[in-house]
Amino acid sequence: MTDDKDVLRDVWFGRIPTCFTLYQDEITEREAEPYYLLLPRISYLTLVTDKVKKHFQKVMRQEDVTEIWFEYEGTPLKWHFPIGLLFDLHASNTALPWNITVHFKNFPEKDLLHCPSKDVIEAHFMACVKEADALKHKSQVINEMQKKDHKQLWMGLQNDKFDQFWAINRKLMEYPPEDSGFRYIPFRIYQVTTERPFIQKLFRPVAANGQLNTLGDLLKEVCPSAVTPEVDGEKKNQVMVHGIEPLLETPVQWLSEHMSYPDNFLHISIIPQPTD
Amino acid sequence: MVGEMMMVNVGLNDQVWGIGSEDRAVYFRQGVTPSELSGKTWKAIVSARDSDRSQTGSSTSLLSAGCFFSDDVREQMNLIAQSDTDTSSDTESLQVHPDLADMPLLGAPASVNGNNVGSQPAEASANVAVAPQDSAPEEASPASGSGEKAGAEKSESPADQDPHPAELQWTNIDLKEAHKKPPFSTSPFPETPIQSSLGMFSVGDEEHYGADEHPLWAWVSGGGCLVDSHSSLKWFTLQSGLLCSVQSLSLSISPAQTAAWRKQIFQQLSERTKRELENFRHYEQAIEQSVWVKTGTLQWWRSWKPHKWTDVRVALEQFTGNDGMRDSILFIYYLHHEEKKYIHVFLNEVTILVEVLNDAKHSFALYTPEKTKQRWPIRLAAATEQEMHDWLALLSMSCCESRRIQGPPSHQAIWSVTCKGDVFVSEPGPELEAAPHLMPCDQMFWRQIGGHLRLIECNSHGIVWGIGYDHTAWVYTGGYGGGFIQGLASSADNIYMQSDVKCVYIYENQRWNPVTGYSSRGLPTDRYMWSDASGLQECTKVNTKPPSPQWSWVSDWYIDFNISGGTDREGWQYAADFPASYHGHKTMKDFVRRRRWARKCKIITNGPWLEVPPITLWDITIIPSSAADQEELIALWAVSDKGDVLCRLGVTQQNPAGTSWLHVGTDQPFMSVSIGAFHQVWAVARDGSTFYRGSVSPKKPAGDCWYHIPSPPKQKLKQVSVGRTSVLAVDKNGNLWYRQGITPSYPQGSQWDHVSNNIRKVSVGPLDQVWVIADKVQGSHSLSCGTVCHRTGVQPLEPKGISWDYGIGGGWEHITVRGNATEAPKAALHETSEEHSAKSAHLEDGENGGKGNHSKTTLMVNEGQELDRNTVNC
Repeated sequence: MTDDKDVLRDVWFGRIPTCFTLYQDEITEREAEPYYLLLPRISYLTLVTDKVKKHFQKVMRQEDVTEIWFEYEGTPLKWHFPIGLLFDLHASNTALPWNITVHFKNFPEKDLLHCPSKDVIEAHFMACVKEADALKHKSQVINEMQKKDHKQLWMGLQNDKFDQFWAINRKLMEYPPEDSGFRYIPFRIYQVTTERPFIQKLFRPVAANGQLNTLGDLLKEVCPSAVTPEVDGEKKNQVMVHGIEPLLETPVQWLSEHMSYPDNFLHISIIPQPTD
Repeated sequence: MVGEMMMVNVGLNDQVWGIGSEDRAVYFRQGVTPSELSGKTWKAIVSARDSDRSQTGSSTSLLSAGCFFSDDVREQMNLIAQSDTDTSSDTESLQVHPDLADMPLLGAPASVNGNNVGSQPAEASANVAVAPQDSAPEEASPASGSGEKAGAEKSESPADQDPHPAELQWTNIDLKEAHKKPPFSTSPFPETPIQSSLGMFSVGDEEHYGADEHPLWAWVSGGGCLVDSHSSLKWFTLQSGLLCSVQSLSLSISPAQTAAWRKQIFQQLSERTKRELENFRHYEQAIEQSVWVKTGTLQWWRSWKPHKWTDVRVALEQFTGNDGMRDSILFIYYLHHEEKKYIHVFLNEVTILVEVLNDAKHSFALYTPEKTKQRWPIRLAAATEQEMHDWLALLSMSCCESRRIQGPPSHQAIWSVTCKGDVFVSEPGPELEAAPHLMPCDQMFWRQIGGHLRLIECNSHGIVWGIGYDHTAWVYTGGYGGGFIQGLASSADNIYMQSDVKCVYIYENQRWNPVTGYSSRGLPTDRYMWSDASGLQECTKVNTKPPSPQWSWVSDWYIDFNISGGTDREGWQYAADFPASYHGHKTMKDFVRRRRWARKCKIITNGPWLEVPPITLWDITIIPSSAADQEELIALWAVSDKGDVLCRLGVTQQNPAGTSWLHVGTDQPFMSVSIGAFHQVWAVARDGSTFYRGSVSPKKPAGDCWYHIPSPPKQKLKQVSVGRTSVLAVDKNGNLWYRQGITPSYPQGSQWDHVSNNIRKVSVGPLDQVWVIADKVQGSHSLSCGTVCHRTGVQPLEPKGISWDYGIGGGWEHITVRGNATEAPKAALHETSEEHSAKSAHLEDGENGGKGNHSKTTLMVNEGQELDRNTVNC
């Protein structure tokens, strides 16, 4: 019998089988074999692709190796989005493995941020965690923690240690007994078709009448176009989190507690319904 | 202690269960191990109630019990769960019959019984369930026989306000059940998984119960419950909230759980896993998993008052980072006011792991730079010496690994010895002596080398000698590890057996009274008649044990006539009252007397040491050389335990043990000797006078004659150390003196300058660096004796230095820095002494260091403050 704890584990241990291929225009000394890897959905591209980098550097000349960047079907992949989000948004209904192209040249300055070291990823991650706590607890919980606790969150993510991460993260998932949820739900809604990167607004988990707000309520309020049905009653979009489509009746408070990414945000993708 | 137990039952594996007589809760005696059969403490088994926010429904009695059992029981619990769900429907609470609604308490007989598969559990639960009738759920129906009987009996009795008769009723019923049940409760079924269930129940009428009330138990049997004495049990605290779902086996079936949206999520997640993972399991993982290296249970000396040993779970984890570096973290999990907490230490921050002498426990201390400053390490204790050594060995290895330290110590290494006789070595970096920004010595990393010694001396060419408590001389073989450090962390072929003998002392105290004279009956406020030196601990001939299980007695108790102060012919020394100074003759004013008894004990260990027979030594010194010197023959002087001054011939790097001793004539016994880089030999005699040996050279290793050097006024010296050119000495009152006025033409110097008080020992190295063992040093919690300190600000123009930097301690006995000849990079010499004063320790004395005025800084002295018995003791 599954329970909530299993959801946390399933979310954490989700993996996307990926095939990395070197861009054909990169200069190589010999033929570069594609590299296959299971990527954690909850992590970040530049954090988990050291092996990929090493693999392709072996066939390249030292001077040609500059900053690595990734692209899928022409779209540069933003490393500061979690891997699961990138996959759901761009490739969720395609055949596995996920085919990513690896580049070392022509870094697309306009589309991607630079990632010179792991410290940059850590800083970005911690910033997200702090922002999420600001929404949930007015930053009280995160500020009460010591630096070593912050470090433990990061190390838990970096080293794929579920217990270590959740030992601290569970504190960020608590709320005072007199409330029935967080102050605001930290979420971001992504759509490929829109101009802006994501939608993020203030949204309370509990309605004025004390009822728990659902995912449907959230979408109706902040992104109504995503959920209005087509003329023929068919849904035109999929609402996806971690590769699954939760029912719109799901309470957002529960979703935030159990299906957030390690940065404590609910990253939701709105993608067009597959046509097949 | 809980108080009184109504009943006690011993189950499998000697584990003990009980029912409290006042609160009627089920207790488990925690800490029963083969070595400690009486256990440590009674712990009440706690169950969650219906009304708790936690997800565990207490009604699903056997199911909810699964929450509180550790993992090793979990898989068996599923069996129970299945069989129960077969027989029961979703149940909530058992309703109380309205007649009995005003019965405030419902004592339920409980059996913690060995369980049987299949239908038996239902019956076992029957034993448990209080099943009053009408709304009795199906779950209790197989038990309906007994349940209804119980109910029937209950309804017969008038609704009683007094709880006790009602309980008697239940007890009666239970006994009957018990008669029927013996086969289940006592004999284990071979094919049955060993497990236990704690039957719980809840009563629907919550109003009658306070929030904290629990069912009242009347009987418990542990005959079927196998608990591994070392496993950590989770039965004693309540879980709540997300915590519950994160940490416990939550099998609640409350309505919210069955919501469609939840089912959808579970279902989709498993589909996703299938889709994304099933066909791709052969792919490589992007992140390597970290490794649990070792977990266990230890005891921890709590950092806040009241200080006591608390049981903790300990885990050592190692990660291989993306860049191949291994990080290790030690986690210590404890409970504070029923809340789970932990502390963690990154092993690359640990500076030393050291065994601590403690009567009752096998304990060790873990220091980081921060904890060294505070003189408050993490103290852990293990149940057995073996376990402690296992942990120490593993942690030491991980620390060395994280600092990339392996193999034998270098020739520059700094050696030190604790009061317990343990040997530690540290690798100095160039920043250690590089003025002006010296590396703080609380950051030094120490690792242990096998062996038991009283002191060690070395030089920078790898010649290292040690002297044991039994005065045996040992020469270092160049190995590492030894002792409890085995395997890869220990070198293979240069570790040999090493032994040492020391005395354990106890005191026989007597008080004079007019009737019988001196007798063993003292005043009520007197110290124990047989005690340790302080008189605070009782030590009799019978109950005094050797310091640790590694030691064994090699003699019987004998009267020790060598106690300071002297004794009369029977070994007694006299004083006016107990804590006073003793003298050997009785006077009219002496109302107490004491006698010291000694007993020898021996330790057999191993380490990179080889004995150098036949002469037993008291002190030793080896010539410190700069790195450039490539002398063939290395000068080594020693003082035998009889006080003779000796010179070792034939010492080379290839043959560090030398070949023979040359006797250097003296007319009185000596106690300390030291040789400087240019063959200056200074020595201290037992009467406290100091001598300089003239004309020592490689051609004339023993020099020609002694020159008497006047001691500092009214002081008797006890130890001297000579570096490159600096000569420093310590007197019997703990003062440190610097010999002023030494020139090449007048090597004896002209006068003694006071540097500091509170010093036990000094070591001057080849760079004229000054290190000491200080006596009382302030820590954040109290004073600690025997602390390593480093004199800062030592320069050619300022050889006495300016102030002190504090390192590892207390509990340190000896240090030698005479191997560290690492040349410091040229420092800016025009730093003024005002700058130095600004940087000096905040505990410095009022005097400042003006340019012409050598500052006299003292180490902390607060004689009034009691020595903290919690610190690492000598």
